[in-house]
Amino acid sequence: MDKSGYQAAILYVVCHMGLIFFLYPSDLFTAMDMGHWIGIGISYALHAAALFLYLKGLAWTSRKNVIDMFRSAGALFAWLLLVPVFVYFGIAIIITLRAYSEMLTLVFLSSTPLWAIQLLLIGIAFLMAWQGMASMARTGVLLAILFTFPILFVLCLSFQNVDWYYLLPIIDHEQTFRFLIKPDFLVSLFVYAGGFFFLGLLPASIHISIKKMMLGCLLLLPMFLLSVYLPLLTFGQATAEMYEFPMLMTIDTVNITWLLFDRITIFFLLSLMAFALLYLGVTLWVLLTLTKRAVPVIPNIYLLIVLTAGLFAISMAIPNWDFLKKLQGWIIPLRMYVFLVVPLITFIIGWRHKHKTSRATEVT
Amino acid sequence: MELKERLAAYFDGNADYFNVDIRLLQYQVQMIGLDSLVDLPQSIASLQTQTSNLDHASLQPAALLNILGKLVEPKLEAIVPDIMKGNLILFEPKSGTCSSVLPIPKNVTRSVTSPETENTLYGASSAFQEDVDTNIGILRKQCSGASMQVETYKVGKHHPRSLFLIYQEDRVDSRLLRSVQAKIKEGQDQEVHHIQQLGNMLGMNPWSFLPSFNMTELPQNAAHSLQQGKIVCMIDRYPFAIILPSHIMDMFRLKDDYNYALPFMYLIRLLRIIGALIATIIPGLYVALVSVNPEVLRLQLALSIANSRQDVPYPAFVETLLLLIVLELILEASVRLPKSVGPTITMVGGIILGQAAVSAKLVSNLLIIVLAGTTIASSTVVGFQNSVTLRVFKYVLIILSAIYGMLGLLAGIVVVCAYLGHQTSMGVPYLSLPAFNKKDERNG
Repeated sequence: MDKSGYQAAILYVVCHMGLIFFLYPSDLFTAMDMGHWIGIGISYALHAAALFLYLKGLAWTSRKNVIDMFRSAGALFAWLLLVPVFVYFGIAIIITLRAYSEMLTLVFLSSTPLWAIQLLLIGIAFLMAWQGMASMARTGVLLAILFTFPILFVLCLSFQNVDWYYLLPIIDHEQTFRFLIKPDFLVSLFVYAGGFFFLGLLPASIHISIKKMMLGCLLLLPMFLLSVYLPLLTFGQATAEMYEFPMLMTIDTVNITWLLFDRITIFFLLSLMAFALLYLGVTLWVLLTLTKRAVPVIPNIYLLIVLTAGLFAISMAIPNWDFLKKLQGWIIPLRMYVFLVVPLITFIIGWRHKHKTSRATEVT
Repeated sequence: MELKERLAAYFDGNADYFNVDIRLLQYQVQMIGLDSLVDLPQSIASLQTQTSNLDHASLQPAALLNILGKLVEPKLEAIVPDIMKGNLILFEPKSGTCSSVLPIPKNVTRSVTSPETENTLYGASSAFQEDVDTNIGILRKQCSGASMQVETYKVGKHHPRSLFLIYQEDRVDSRLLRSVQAKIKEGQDQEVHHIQQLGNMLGMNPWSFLPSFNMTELPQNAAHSLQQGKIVCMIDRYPFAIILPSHIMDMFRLKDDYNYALPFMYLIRLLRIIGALIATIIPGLYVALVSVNPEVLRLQLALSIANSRQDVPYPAFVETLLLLIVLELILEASVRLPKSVGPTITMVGGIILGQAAVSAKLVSNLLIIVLAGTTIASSTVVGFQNSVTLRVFKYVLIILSAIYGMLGLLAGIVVVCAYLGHQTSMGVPYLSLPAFNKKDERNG
């Protein structure tokens, strides 16, 4: 029903907001010692370029979805291209699920078993994915309306303890680009990769406006910067590096005397968790859509139950945090593939499609 | 058997049936009807006045009856529905002509009064009533433009009722209109005595927790909805306008708001939104903070809460649920009870029960405050059916909060949001933007 393109743009922003503030800062702190903005800038530029290529490619084929586009180049080709995507998103869900449950136990549910939290998270994701994309898009808008205010409130207040000297040196004299191939840096690309893949699968009822998407993308830039620079300015690189969740620690240092609550972390964390739940739902839906195209005979609901149960079982089987870290390292090739190669292929197929149609019109 | 006997046999068990002979011009005419619906003496007088200045000699019975009413076939099946509707049947036995006449009716409807379930502060205060013709008259006065259309349908086989479909031709979404019309035509044989049956006929989900219709007693609200491109449904003997489709913003918007200055209008609407949030979230928040995550609270506050709960023997979840159920009981009882007894319940519930429960250490002081606030807040939204919805949602949040604490509260909110996102009313999503009809620049 949405013709203006707001729903898709809000969904895109919300999904990324759910990811940025949790794992990203600590990954970047391990990857870089100085000049973090260079790392953020490069990854952000890549992200914006990939997003633009992807959307442009989609627009040229006049709203076909990604699966159909890849299929137009051959069924085998489509399988080859989409299986890695499927695997990547499966692992992305598992990592998100597991990491966020660990974090929630850490912050305020110390006595609740991990499986119970994971069950809740994946249960809600299941519910959302089951309802379909149109419902999720509307839910996304409502969640954005409800939770944007607490997030902005906390972000403004978290400047309380900053020390601007930590900003220096802005650039290191011996700055090299070696960090680009460091595994930690490549792991940090988690937040940039794949959060926009779902745009290629949206039903026709949800319109995508490239302009609004790019505006949404622009809105994310300050968020990327804040997520890294707030902890950096509060603690300094040496300390921030040691925390598993630097952003949450930063907000924990904020003290507001007039508030009912002792820790405003809870507002921040919960608001972002709402967004993260939506991300989980969207990613589960992406997996469902891909599976549905591969095996169209089985009804949606059974596929979804199998997928959810499978993902839950795998995420339960992960023994500890270290293993999770290793897992993130292993899927670097897949991540780079989804991040850069898939948009590029989409762009190329779209461009060829456009060329073909324009030639066809010239002939006639 | 003659018609007279057959009718007498048909209406054998009806004491209010009458069949009297009167003289109109030179003819002897039988007058048939129901005493409870027709004012007989007045009707006779009116008929005689009408006929007195007609030309006697040339007029045939058929022509005479045609002047007075509508000719019908002198058959039992044709006459009975007319009699049931409250019309008067004139039958001239010699020529066998029969006509259905609009009589002077007995007054069986109340006159237009002020609304019972919705209060207006700065607005017109005449309300719809049971008689559907009057309702449409009131609505026409509110909506005086030429584009208002009224369609009528007879629904139900055994107890037919008239159902009116009202819309503004230039505003309404034609797809929505067509789908509603098709649904009504399809289900014309179904009885429609109450809203659930109407929902069934229109193919609404009977298990939805959200109101599939918006109901209003106020003509100005119905007129406003028409201007927004919605469809208004009216059933005879039902004093509410049923507005299709219903939206989330219907919870917060009222036509009367426009009678305030603009900033106040927005502030009042904001207040209603906050009220809805408080009503759903606060009880869950209490449970989460008291039983699972007390460390979130400021230390002094946590201590004072712990202090007030010191002697309460059971967990916060049970405590909250207990008092909530008592509150629901009070609410339900005060709706059912006659107005003279209602205040007693309020007093007993509020003062005696509340005070005693705290003194007996059954519930904490804070909980009384929380739940009183919740109950008040849930009534700030527009429309009683919407406040019922809010009352249901808070239980989801309480249960999840009791298990997962603050995370459960959030999960509950997300689940409720997802639920809202999934619901549609007549194919229009419940969460669609306020600008339902782009043609209307003042959607509010």
